[in-house]
Parts: sequence; C-alpha cells; structure tokens
Amino acid sequence: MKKAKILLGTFLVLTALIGAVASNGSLEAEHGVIRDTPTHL
Amino acid sequence: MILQTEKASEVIELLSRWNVSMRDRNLAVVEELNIEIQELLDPAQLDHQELLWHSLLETRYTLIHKRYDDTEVLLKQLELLEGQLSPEMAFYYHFFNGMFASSMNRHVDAVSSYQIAERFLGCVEDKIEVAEFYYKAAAAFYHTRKFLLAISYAKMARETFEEVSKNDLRCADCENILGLCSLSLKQYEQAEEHFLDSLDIAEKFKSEELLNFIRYNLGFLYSEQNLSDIAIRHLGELYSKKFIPHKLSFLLAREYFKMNDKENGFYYLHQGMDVCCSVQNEEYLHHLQILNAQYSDLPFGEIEQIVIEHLKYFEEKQLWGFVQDYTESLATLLHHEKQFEKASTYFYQAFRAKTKIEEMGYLR
Repeated sequence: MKKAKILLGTFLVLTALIGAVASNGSLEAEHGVIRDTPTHL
Repeated sequence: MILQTEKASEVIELLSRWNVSMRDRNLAVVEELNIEIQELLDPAQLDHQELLWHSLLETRYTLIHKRYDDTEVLLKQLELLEGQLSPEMAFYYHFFNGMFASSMNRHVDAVSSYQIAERFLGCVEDKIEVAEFYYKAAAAFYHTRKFLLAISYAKMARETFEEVSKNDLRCADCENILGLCSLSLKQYEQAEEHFLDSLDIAEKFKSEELLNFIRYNLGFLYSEQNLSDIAIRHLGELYSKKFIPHKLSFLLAREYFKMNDKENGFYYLHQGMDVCCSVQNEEYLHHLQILNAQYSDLPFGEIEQIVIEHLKYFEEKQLWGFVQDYTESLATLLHHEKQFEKASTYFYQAFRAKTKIEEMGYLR
C-alpha cells in the first residue's frame, strides 16, 4: 500500500515535470489490445 | 491523396507518394521522401494548395514519430485554415485529429473527429486509406464501448482490405477487433472463433507481432470467463517478451488474486506499478491502485475512499466504461453489506456513466 502511494506520488511529480502525460502508443481505454498500422522497416 | 489537376504538379505528386508511404508506415521510404521534400521544396515557391497539403502531411509525419507537441501545433495552425481546405483535405485534417486524440487516449474526441472525417470520405479515392479509416474508427468505437458500431466499422474495414489489397494480415487485425467486441458483449464462443481465425492467419504469415496481440486477447478472453489457469498460461507466456507490460501485469495480478494467490498477485501488481512509472502510463496506475486496495485486507470504508479517489481520473478522462464498472462493484459490495442507501447512490452513478456512453452514439 505504502509502495503504491509512493509510486503514484513519483509518477505525478514526473508527469508534472514533463508537462503532460506522454503517450507511448499503448494507452488504451479498454483492457483488450488492438494493433495499430504495422510498420514496414 | 488524389491528384487535383489533370496534370498534377510534381510537388503534389511527390507529396502524394510521401502520404502513401506514411499510410503504409513504410519508414525507409517515408524518410527518403522526407529528405527529398526538404531538399526540393522551397515553401516560398509553393502555391496555397501545395502549402496546405504539405502542412497536413507534416502532421502525419509527426504522428508517426510520436512528436505529439509538434502535431498539436500543426493541427492548431490548420484549424485556423479549415475553411480553405478542399473536401479531401478536410477528410485528412479530421482523420489526423482523430489519430492524435487516440494517441492521447482521448477516445471520445477521437470518435468525434472520425465522425466529422467520415462526412468527407466520399472524396477519398484511395481505398486502402478508406480501409485504414474504418479500422481506426472501429478501434476508437471499441475503446468508447460502442461495440455494435465497432463491429460495423471493423467489418467495413475488412471488406475494403479484402477488396483492394488482399492484405491478409490487416484482415486478421479486423478479426481481432471483432473478437474483442464479441468478448465485451459476452459472446465468448464467437470471440474465440474470431481470435482463432486471426491466430491462423498470423501463424500462416509468421507475424510474431500479431501473434502476441492475439495471444494477449485470448488470455484476456479466458480471464473474463474466470478460467484463471488457462488465462495465466496465455498471459504468462507473453510476460517474458515484455509485451504491453502494464496491461499484462494488471491482468496477471488480477487473475492470481482471483485464485487467492496473493504472493504472485502482489508481485505482478508491483511490477505493473513500476512499469507504469517508467512508461508514464497514468491510467493503469489507477487500475492497479484500485486492485491493490481490493486485495490489501483493508476495512471496507477505506477501500471505498481509495476507489472514489481514483475514479476521479476516469471521470476526468471520460473513460465512462470504467466509471461504470467500478461504481457498480462498489454498489454491489455495499448492497451485500446492507448499506442500501449508499449502494443506491453508486448504482445511480453507474447508471449515469452508462448514459454518458449512450450519449456518445447520438448523431451530431
């Protein structure tokens, strides 16, 4: 529980420093996962 | 992008090729053409139409490279020029707005943008782009729990992909969305059929990336049916591959808790929290905090306070589906505790969240 609170605190500080919640492309509202357009390298 | 004049300018032709490479995420060509465009194009020499196309495609380029601050600036500039966009440009402007909103996890806004883009879809001759549009709209509808609309768009995407590109892997992606929607509608057998169809194609083409997506969703399917052993087997296999680890950790922790295995439950819960911090995913940190409260042997009042605290995030982000889920769970627990008045308040909150979801389907 304590660890959870510390982590949330750290996260919020980090987010505030960065200025916004940066997306890593995997932010999704439902628990299922959908592939974006695949990348051809 | 269609060529606007009978003898399209070389500039438009070059921009058109750049657009196609970005549509297909053919990164080598995208970069090659980006350099070519930078070298050849002098913005001072471009006419108004060419400048607008250039700005639009630059927006797509920033989306591909996840330079979202730049995307936002470009979209704001284009918003001021919206009245000057041709119908085809208007399609791309709203389409990119939707893609940007999806990347920011603003799925309600994404749906709104896609709905506007769709009004201009008739002006888009590139059928692969049309299929991509349907696919992205289906994904946004899934994330806002408009499952029937998601099914309809995923089917249109699949038909269009089949028609024009014979791209079996994209068809398999559509099957994946259809599987997820069936799962959310609790049509488990149908969901499994869609996932297995998709899995067959992914195996045939040896697409490890797609296989991971399907295996995860199969694990999620079994988890939703409380088939914890089989769910853990599917999800556990992906864990070492670090596949979307914040989501995977959440599902694994939840499954172990269901089996009363608190040691493993808390292990994955803490792993998930660490991952959320490192990838800056706030949403799953809130899910994990609620899960943590549920299984930490706290007095009920304390659990309730923690859930209320974290619900604020889901309300702020308009993630009404989760607001509904969590308030319903609280209400049910309170009902069992015979705290009927409080339970009624939470049931009403859940009902309001459900109404919000329904409102998103209204015609605009």
